[in-house]
Amino acid sequence: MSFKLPASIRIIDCHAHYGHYETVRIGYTDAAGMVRVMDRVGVERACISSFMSIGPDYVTGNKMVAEVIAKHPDRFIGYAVINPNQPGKISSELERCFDEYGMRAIKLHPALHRYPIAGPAYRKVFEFAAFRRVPILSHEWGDSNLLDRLAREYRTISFLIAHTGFWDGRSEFPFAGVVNQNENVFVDLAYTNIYYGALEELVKLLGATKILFGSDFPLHDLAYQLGRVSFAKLDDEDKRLILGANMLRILGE
Amino acid sequence: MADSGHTEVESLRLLDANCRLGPSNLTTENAPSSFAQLQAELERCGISEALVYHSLASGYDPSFGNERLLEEIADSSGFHACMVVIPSDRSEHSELSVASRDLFASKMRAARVFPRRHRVSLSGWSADGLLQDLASHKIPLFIDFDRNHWADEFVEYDQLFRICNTFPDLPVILVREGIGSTRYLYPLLEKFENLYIEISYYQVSRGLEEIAHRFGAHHLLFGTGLPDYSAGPAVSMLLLSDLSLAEKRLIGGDNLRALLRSAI
Repeated sequence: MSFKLPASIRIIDCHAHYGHYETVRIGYTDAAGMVRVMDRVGVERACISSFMSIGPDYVTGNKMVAEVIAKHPDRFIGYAVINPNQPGKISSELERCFDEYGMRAIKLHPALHRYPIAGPAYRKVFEFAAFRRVPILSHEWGDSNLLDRLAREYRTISFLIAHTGFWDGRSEFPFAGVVNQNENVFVDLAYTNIYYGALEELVKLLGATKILFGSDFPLHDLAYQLGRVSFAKLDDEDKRLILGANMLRILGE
Repeated sequence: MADSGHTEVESLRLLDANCRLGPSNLTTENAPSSFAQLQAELERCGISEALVYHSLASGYDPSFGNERLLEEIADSSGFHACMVVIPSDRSEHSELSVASRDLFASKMRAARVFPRRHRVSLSGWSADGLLQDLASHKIPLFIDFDRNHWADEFVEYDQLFRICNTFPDLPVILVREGIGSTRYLYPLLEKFENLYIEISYYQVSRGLEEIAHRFGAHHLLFGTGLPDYSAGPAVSMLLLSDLSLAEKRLIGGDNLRALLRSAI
């Protein structure tokens, strides 16, 4: 057992951001600075949405991400973000993000938009994602029954549960059933207060093929989040899957 | 000059400033709560020493748990004892009500308070008797507000200001601060040399580098939060930070060693 990762392991961060966040001071917000940190920590690519996108102005935020991925196409993958409170603009913005900006996935944030994941505006997103066969990462998915229905209805979408579904590692994992019963449902690790041994427990519950490394970087320290995996009592094959191979498979690479 | 990023963990000579011995009501089944388990887990993560308090002192009775701690670590050179104290009533912990030489004879090297859990005030009318005693001996005081999530808003920053300002000789260590704390901490770090931040939950992106370069690496103390939390994240953050090896060593353990040595 070692926390030194084999050089052959590719690290893909499935849950990262870009820019400023209102609640928290972020010491650096430029793409070049992010790349320097990624190089230092050993992360090959990060899938990003702008805090501007999930915050006050999704159109401007998506443009910001477009500029970043245009400048660093080998380091960043873009998440398209829409505002469900403006349902009339969803289709056109998604088309712009995928056809003009080259984004490859969709990020939803029902909490910041104060809009329920079961609401009708998100149906347009699911229809778009199913047709384009693109993954969706959502800050939350409501209860597991809803996600189960969505996962069965939209088999061509990979559903990514952000922040381990806010599971802290001590109670029963509420999404275990829906993850195990649906090939297209995965769990992202970007979370801050997870109790001792939670990742090892999650691997026992779900298997390493259903877990994705995510960090919330640069909101959270990338190396700190990586340490949750690199120091875990798991073998290197499990770490390889979690840190990058699973997300690469979802992205079709 | 920044370290190459390939520092070996062992070269950091890690001393865990935030470690607990014994089980708590939050401890999971596989968490390393016994002395042998904790020692093995620290070793697995490349941590050679730990300043520990006991769960029975924080979660049951200070005197009972402090005594248990001394018994359990008696034969270990790598474990340093941290006494849990109740600021408002020193009769609840006999060690500090006697002379400091007895404190040191008992191997206690630091004190820890839990203002929320123990329902005690850090205001002058409640805490200053004990704080004056600790300050006169430069005994490091760890303040633990039982933070779970970074967005929790119950740390008494005004009291921290008051304590650091009133007792400049008292090393004050704030435990388990998170990413939502920087706008509170920076004005305090700018003013007070005696304020220290324990980093087990301080996952601010490039946060260690920013504090080290703006206020000095001497303000930061490595910690893990074991056995409730895994040690790996904090070790990884320090190891891969954009700091010099000398700065990493200060944060990793030398800062705390200096504080423990300075206690008189």
